[in-house]
Amino acid sequence: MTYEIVIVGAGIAGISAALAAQRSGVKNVLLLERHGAVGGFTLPYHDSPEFADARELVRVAREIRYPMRLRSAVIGFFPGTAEEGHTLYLQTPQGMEQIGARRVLIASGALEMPKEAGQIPGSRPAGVMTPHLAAELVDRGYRLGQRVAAFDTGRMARAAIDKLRQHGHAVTVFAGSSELARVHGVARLEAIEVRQADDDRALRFECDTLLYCRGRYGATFFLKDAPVSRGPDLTLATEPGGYAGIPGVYAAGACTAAGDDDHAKSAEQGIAAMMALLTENG
Amino acid sequence: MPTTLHDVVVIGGGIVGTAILRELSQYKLDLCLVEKQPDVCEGTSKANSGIVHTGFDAPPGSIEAECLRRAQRLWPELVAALKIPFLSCGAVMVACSDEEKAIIHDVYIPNAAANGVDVRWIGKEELLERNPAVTSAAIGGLLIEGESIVDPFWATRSFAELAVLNGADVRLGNGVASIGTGSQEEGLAIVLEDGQVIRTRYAVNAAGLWSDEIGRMIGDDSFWITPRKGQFLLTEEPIAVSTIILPVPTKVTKGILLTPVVFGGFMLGPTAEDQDDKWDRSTTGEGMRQIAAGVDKLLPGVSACASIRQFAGVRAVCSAGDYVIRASTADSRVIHAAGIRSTGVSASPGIAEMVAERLEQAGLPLRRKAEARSELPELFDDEAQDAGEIVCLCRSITRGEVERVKRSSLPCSTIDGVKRRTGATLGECQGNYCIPQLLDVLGERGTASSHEPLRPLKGLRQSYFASVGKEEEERT
Repeated sequence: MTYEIVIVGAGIAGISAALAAQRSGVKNVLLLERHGAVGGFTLPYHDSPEFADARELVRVAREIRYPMRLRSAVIGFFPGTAEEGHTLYLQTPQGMEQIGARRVLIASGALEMPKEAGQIPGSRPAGVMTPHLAAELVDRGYRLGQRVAAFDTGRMARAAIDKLRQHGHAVTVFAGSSELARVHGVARLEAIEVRQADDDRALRFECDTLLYCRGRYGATFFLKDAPVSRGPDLTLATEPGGYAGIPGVYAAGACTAAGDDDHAKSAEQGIAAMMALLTENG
Repeated sequence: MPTTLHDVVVIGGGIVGTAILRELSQYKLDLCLVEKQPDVCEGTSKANSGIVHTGFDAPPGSIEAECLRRAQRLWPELVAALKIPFLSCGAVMVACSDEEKAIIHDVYIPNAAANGVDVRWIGKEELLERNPAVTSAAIGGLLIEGESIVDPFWATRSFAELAVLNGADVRLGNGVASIGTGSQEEGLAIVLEDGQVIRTRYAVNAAGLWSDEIGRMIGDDSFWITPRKGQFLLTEEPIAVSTIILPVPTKVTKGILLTPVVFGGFMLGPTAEDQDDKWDRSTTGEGMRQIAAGVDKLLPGVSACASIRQFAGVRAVCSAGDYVIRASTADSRVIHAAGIRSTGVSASPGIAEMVAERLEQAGLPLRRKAEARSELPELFDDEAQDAGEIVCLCRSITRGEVERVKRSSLPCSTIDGVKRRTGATLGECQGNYCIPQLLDVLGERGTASSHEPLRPLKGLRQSYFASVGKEEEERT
C-alpha cells in the first residue's frame, strides 16, 4: 500500500499537520501513532491548564477523516526517489509491516532527557524519574514517595507536579535555574544536593522521589541509518519550513532542532511543514 | 521439622556463584543457590568492563592465572552452548613512548609467555589501521588477540538458567544470616534472613564483596575483602576502533580503557578508588574527569562524546593478594571461591572447575549425570506474528520480546531484570517511557505462567519506586 502522505506521529505537530492537509483537500493520507491514543508524548499532561491548547487539539482531532494506525511505531525508514516514494517499516500489534509513502511528514515528538544525560554525580537509586514517568505511574494508580522533590524545568514538569499534588503527594519544587548537584541513596533515593543559581553551595534536601529532566531527545530512533542530520540530542536538523534534506520528507515539532522542550511551537510548525510539503516542487 | 539435606549450597548469585552452580549441575548432586538480592548478577558482576581476559598480565603461578588459563579453554564451548553474546575483538596495549614500549617488551611479553598467552608487538601502522581513532603520538602496541567481550549479565543468567533446568534450586531475595556447623549427619545449617534453614553437606562461599563476612560466620578470618570502586561512562557515539584499547599500566593503576560493548557502544573506565563502604556505587565529578583525561591520552577528543549513562561498580580486593579457592580453615565442608578481583567474569568457568575439584577433595563424590543438559534452547525463535507492538521505543523492543521473560527458567521480578533480559530501558530515555508499559505487559497475571506480576521494583531489595496506593491504604 502506498500513501500520498504518511504522517509519523499523532502528537501536537502531527495532528496539526493532518488537519492542515485535510483543509487543503489532500487525499490518501495515513496517520501513524505509536501510542494507543492520539496526543503524543505530552498526553499524560493534558489535564493541566497549561496544556489546554493540546487538549483542544486532541478534541478537534476527532474530525480527522484520514485512516489512523494506533500502537504502530515506525522502526525503519528507507528513502526512495520522487517517483517510487519512500518505504516505512512499522511494528504493530499484528507484527511488522511495510508501507509506501510518496511524501513523509515526521512529527515523532521527543522524550524528556533524564538525569543520566547530564552526567549528574551520585548513585542510581530507585525513585529518580522524569516528570513523564511520574505522571504515567500516578495515572496507573501508583503512589510515589512520601517526599517528592521536583525541578520546574518547563510546562511538562509543572503539569506533572500538579498531577502529583492532586493525588495527595507532598512536592517541593526547585526553580528550573537551580542545578541538581548530586544524588544520594543505595536502594531508594535518600537525598539530593541542589545548587541554586548565584550560590556556589550545594544544599542537601532529604527526599525519596525526584522528578528531573533537562532538555529532550528527539524520538527519531527509526532514522538512525537514514541520510538525515541528527544532533547529539537526536533532534533532526531541518531547513526553515521543515525540509529534512530528502526530497518529499519534512519534519516538524519537538523531534526537530527547531522545536522546543515544551512542545509550544509544535502546532504552528506542524501546519507550516505540511503546507511546505504540499507545495514542494517535484 | 525434617528438611532435605542438600549436597551443596552455593552462597552468592554473581557470575562466580552461578558458574559454579552450572558446573555442579552436570553431576548427580542436590543443589541450591541462595542470593540476597531479587535477581542474579546484582553485585560486582553487573558493573564491569565485560572483558574476558586472557590472563596475559596475571601473576604467573597464581591461582588467578590458573583459573584464567582454564577459562580460556572453557569459554568457546560455553558461549556456543548457552548462546551468550560474545565478541572476539582482541585488545591493544598502546605505547606512546620508548619507555612504554620498553615496559611492554620487558614486562608484558615475558609475562604473557609465562602464562601461555599469544601476544605480539604491532607497529604504528597496523595499530592505526585497526584503530584509526588512536592518537598519532602512538608508536605501536601490544596486540592480545585472545581478549574478548561478553555480556556479564547474560552469562550469569545463562549459567543459572541451565542449572535450574538441571534441577538446581535458586532462591532469590534472601540472604544468609548465619551458618551452623553441626555434625556430619546433620550437615551445615544455612540460616536465611527470613528464618528458613537450609541443610547441606557442603557449601560454597561465592559471596563476592561479602565473602569475608560469610567466612566469619563459621569462625574463619583467614582473609578479608576491601572494596575498590570503578566508575564507568557509556557512550553510543561512533568511535573508530575495532579492539579494546588499553594504556600501559603504571605502578599505581591499570588506567582507563575503552571497551566495545557487545550490544553496541563503548564503555570508558574504570577508575580505581579504594573506599570503606561496600555499598558506595556512586559516580563523582572527579571520577568522570579522570576518565575523560585518561581516554583522551590515547583517543584524542573521545571524552567529548555524549554519554547516555554513567555508573560505578565495586570490586573485591583480597588480603590474600590472589583468589582464595580452597576449603575453609575453620570447616573443610565450606569451600571458598573468594577474593575474585576484577577478573571474575573472565575466570568464572575456570573457578567453577577448580571449586568442583576442591569439593571432590573434601570428600564429595562427583558422578556425571547422563541426562544433564549442557545447552540452553535458542531464545530468538522470532515468530513475527507474536512480536506485537513496540514497548521500548529507544531500542525497538516488542511486547513479544518482553513477554518472553515469563518463559525463563529463572524468575524475573525487577525492572533491571527485564532490562538485562530484553534490552528494554537501556536506551536514551533510560526507561522513563517504557517502564509503565513494562509494568502493563508483565503486570498481567499470566494464566499460563507461574510468574508473579512485575512489581515497581528497580533492582536491589527495597528499591521500590512506587507503591500500589489503594492496596497500601487498605492494609494500613
